[in-house]
Amino acid sequence: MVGQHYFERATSNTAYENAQLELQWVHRCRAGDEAALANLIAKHRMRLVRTAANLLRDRHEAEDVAQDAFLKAFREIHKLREDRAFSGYLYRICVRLCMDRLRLKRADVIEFDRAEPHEGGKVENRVLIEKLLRKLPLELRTTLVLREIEQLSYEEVAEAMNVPVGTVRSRLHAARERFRALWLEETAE
Amino acid sequence: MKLNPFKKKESADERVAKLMHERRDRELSFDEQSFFIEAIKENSDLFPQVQESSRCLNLLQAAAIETEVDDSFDERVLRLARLERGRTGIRYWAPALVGCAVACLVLLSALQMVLRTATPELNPFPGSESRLIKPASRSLELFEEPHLAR
Repeated sequence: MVGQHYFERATSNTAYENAQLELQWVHRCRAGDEAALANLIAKHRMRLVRTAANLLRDRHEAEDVAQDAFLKAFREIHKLREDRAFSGYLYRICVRLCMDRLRLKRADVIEFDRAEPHEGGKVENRVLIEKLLRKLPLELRTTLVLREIEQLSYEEVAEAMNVPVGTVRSRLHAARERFRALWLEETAE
Repeated sequence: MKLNPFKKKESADERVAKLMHERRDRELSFDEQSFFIEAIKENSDLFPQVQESSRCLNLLQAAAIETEVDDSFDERVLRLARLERGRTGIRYWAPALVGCAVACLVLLSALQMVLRTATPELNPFPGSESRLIKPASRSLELFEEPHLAR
């Protein structure tokens, strides 16, 4: 019990120290320090690229979007309020960029039905999942991916999508219902 | 508690659907849990629905893309950020530089005008114009030797 308490305190201390360190990097970044810039990139790149990849379902495009998100974040770093975390600000930019790209892609009408049939159930499932995701409205799709795949909390999803938590809750419910209905349609065929 | 007369009453099916999804995000309370189990027991159609829902959402989670970030990613972003900062610097200073250039031009032309008015008039015949008259080339023929006075 004591050990667990100590562990929790130590974890929260580490989180606080990390947040303070990041705040220092942001300050130095504003002053034009390139080392601080490099530290921020190194800290967030993996998660940012993964989030973009899961939203766009494309690894290569995800790197481009992550790069654009970093550049936009650094360009507008003076807009970041002192009491807000850099990570939330960065993910919000990334999610917005991904949604913009998905909107453009929708206009292109990419048919996933044309995807080559693969051997093995796992890959087929993945193709089916991607097909179903494409059928979901953009807001529902993004909410579902951020919650189910990225495992973000309601608050984090709300921050990333710049909507209230209540909206996230209702969107998530609608997204899961739609996804289930689409799944049943597809698997019944 | 005041009831909202416009709020639609949640049906049992809707509540089951809501709990079916919410149990993925949080632990249901004892009442919610017992309501959910009772509803499934009463309606045999619900169980496969709950199963399918869990299955498709689990597959969605399993379809997560694992990424490897390119080694050159950091360097690329840093280079672009540096470039952008340079461009921003130019964009920031450009109006000031253009302003300076215009001010210099205005100053120079003003100085020139002032200096010109201060220069004394060199032409002694105002209203006249100067012209280069080429003297006619005449050849003087000498028939006699000139008598030079002594």
